[in-house]
Amino acid sequence: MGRIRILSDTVANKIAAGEVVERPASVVKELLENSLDAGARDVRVAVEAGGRRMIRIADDGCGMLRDDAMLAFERHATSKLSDVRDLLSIATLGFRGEALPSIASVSRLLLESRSEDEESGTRVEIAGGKLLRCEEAALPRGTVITVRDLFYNVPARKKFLRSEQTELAHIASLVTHYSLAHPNRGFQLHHGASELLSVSPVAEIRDRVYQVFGSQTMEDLVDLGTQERDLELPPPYLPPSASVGAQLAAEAEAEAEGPVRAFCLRGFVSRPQVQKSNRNSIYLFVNGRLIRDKLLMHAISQAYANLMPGSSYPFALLFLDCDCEEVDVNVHPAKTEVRFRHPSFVHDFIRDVIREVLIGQRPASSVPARYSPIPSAPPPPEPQRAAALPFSEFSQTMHEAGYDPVVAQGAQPATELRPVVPNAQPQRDEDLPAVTLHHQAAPLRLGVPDTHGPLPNVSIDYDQPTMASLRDLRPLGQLHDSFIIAAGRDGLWIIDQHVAHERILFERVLKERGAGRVEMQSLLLPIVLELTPGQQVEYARIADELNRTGFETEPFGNRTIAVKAAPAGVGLADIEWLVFEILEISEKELRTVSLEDQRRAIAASVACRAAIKINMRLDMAKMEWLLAALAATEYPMSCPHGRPVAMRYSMRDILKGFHRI
Amino acid sequence: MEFTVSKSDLVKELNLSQGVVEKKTTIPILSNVLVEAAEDRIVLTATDLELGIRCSCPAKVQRAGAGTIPAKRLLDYVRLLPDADVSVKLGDNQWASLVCGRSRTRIAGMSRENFPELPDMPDKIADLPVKALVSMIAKTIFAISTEESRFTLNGALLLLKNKGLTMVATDGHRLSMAEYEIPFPDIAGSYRALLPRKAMGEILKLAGEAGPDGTIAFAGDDNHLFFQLGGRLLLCRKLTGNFPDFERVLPKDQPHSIILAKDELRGAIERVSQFADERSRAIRLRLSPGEAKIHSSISETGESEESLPVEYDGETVEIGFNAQYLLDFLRVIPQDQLTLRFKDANSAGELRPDGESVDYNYRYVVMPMRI
Ligand SMILES: Nc1ncnc2c1ncn2[C@@H]1O[C@H](COP(=O)(O)OP(=O)(O)OP(=O)(O)O)[C@@H](O)[C@H]1O
Ligand SMILES: [Mg+2]
Repeated sequence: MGRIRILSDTVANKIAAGEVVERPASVVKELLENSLDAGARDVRVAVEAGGRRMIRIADDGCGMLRDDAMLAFERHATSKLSDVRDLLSIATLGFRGEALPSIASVSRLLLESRSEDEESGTRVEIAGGKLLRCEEAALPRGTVITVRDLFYNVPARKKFLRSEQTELAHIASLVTHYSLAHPNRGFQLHHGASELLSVSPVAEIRDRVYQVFGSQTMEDLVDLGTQERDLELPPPYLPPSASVGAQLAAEAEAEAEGPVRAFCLRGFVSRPQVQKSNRNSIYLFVNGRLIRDKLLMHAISQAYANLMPGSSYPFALLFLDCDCEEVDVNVHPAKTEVRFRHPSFVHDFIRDVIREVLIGQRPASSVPARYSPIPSAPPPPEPQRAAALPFSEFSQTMHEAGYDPVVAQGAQPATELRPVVPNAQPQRDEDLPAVTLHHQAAPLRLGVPDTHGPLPNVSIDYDQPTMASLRDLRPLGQLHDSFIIAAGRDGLWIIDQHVAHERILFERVLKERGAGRVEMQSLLLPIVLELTPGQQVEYARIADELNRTGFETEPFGNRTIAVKAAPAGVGLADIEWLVFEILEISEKELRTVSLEDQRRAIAASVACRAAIKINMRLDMAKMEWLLAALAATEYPMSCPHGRPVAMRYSMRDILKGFHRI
Repeated sequence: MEFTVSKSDLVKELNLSQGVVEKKTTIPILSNVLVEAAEDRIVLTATDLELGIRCSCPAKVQRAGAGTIPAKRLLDYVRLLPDADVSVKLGDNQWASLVCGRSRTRIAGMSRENFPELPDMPDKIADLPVKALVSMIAKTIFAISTEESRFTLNGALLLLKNKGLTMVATDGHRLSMAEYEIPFPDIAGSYRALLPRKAMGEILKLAGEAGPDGTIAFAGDDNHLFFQLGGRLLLCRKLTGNFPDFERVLPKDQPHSIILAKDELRGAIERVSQFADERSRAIRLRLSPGEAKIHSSISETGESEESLPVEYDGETVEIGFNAQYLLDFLRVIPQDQLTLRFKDANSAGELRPDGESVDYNYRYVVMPMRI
């Protein structure tokens, strides 16, 4: 007798569960998607013990017909896909008909659902994949699914679950993600008795971001607007080798609407001064589906290259929408991976949109001191607790390396400048000697002499600093021969002279390089450099680029090169250093980045080397020049390595500090 | 120690020591001046360990001895005294008391024991004419690099040969060489030394006090160079390192040469370079038959052009230069005319003063920019 047997459904479901259901958050994800697919307006998630003891999801969606309620637990039972052709254009979140049977096979599950087309609802109880009960019940419209004791029958799995806190954080991050993707639905998340998230339906993503993250984050974000870019397919349209099969390709070709594919990007990104130490704050959605994707991650970090240190990450909430044919979601059972048909187009689209929007944000924004909101405005919402939990499923899987929640929480750099005066309202009462007055007198007030009167009638700019205010700066002097102190209409500015000059030079070097007219200074005597074998290989590869960057070099015997000219402004001492650095950049980034990115990296290092150093005295004329040149840069507020250029002590803070407002 | 000295003598000598006194007081005693009184003179010594200066002036010495006094404080105070004699007394407690007319002051000094010993001047190598030395320093000092790197030297090469005195300085982009024909019959072959920039500046100061016709006694030991002018001695540590082979750098093959009027050229470059990049200072010099055009532009700011008539009938050549490098030369030569020698856009240009009053050889080589 043969040994091969067809697996029983119970076993097959358990195996599938291994792929679909990894941890409590995966259950939440599947159930949440089902609710959203069912058109729910309001989704309530309640969990206990990090989801290990209980997960309940209640929605007000379309509900299930009694027959369907039973069928839903059969493998590959789905209402969402009927033809293999549909696989090419999946518009719902679920499509495999795998989730419910998988979950039911590894937990005790209770389904309560009523379709609007039926008078009464259905209650189904399943444990470890075995149907225990199926009965008619009086239920409100919608579906409630309760999952208890996850993995109770799979001890090996259970052992791998992490602490309650960790599992909860995954769930919270997940629900937060979905709430962001669906602003027109309401979401609630409760852990035991405590509320982690509660947002009502709103019209705009912007409103949802505000609900979820609070006003503080909102201030740091830049709205990308709605950005569209069309991909024109080359005339002989080549159909994709989709996972479905070759015979479909031909059909797809016949059905292809035309040679243009539309891509649309919406969302928010943070200004470069918001620097997070991990990717937890990057939220990516493709066609409304939460995904993690190396390609998009890379596009984002490229957009921030030279605006932010390489080890930092921004906050980003991106929604990419495109024709379903352009993206294959059926890559991984957890559906968190996608494959783009035209990856480099998508990559560049995203990078360019973000970079352009960031560069368009010229004002110094909140690098300088932040304003407190107008007093009459309602108190800004605090970020929801769910948004503040430090873990995210996606950072976990993306970060192979260890994760340090402590670092993650203290990620904001201290670029905020505060008045030296400790408190706007000094606690004078406590410091005063305890003199008891006989009558209830107001605290003693000194008459304010005339000289303390209001400021002369100058218009003070309370608004966010603008490029114009940077242009108006008048240098006052230097602090420690390193920082320029400047007066502006909108307050007092401190500018890091090295970083400022670096920014100026960086843009110039790039521009000159782009225009192919780099200014080079020939050397009286060539500088001879010895290379390691590794450097020699790199040199052979990039000699041309090196030359176009302004270093005229030629081989000079075995593993030595002679530098005969260098970019103007680069000191002799720095030439050697720079050539080696460029070789190293090229070696490190070898083929992983585009030529343009490599060029930016090279420009950044040339700029850094050629820039005025700190500890260098500057005369007024030089300072004026530096400020004017800075104002003329495209992105004056951070250096190519992402450090801030300037800090501002706003007029408002100054007036506040002196108790004048 | 106790002595009386004329205020003006004291101020003059203290002034010379100021440039040498260590300003960053890493070693406190180096901000002091050593005062030694003996016989009918006082000797003032200051050093920053790289450079040292020893001056003296007549004084009535009541009690011989030595001590150190903060140099800047002493000078700042003495300068304000009326023109009269100043009596200085330095007790064992290292307090210096100064009396001049009705003014009395005490300044805390330090014992001389910790003051570094300066080497003695060895046998003289040669007498250098003050005028030539000053002129050479002025013509080369600006070409010394201010950055420190193993490819540059922060000083000039001083070269004595049987028939001449040469000074050369370079920053890697340009080279300045001044040569005087002065016979040094005592020198067999040649004597080379690297003279630090700071010492060159101090030599100019010393010479300023001396008048143009004197000579400076020059000597050197293994590590030091000595310049003595009357009662004043300046000494410095020699720079170590290899001065580039400057003979190799001097252009040999320059087919073209034009004569330019200095003031015209200087004015033109000064104006045009307003529109040169702040850092690279790049301008273009376009030479075509009968005309030299100087041009520069910054794409967003503007551009500027000047045209000078020249006698030239070669092919049209356009060479980029750092305007600052050219101006440095034009500001230092006294002559009204100069020659520009060149070959093509990729080769060094050379400037030389031109005219009858040139009794020395001055060559200024500037590498082109490619813009
Ligand atoms: N909350 C719900 N409201 C209404 N119908 C639901 C709900 N949850 C599940 N269903 C129905 O049950 C079916 C099975 O769900 P299941 O999640 O197993 O598969 P799916 O969503 O179709 O695909 P996938 O496995 O990719 O999630 C769905 O197709 C849908 O018809
Ligand atoms: Mg589903």
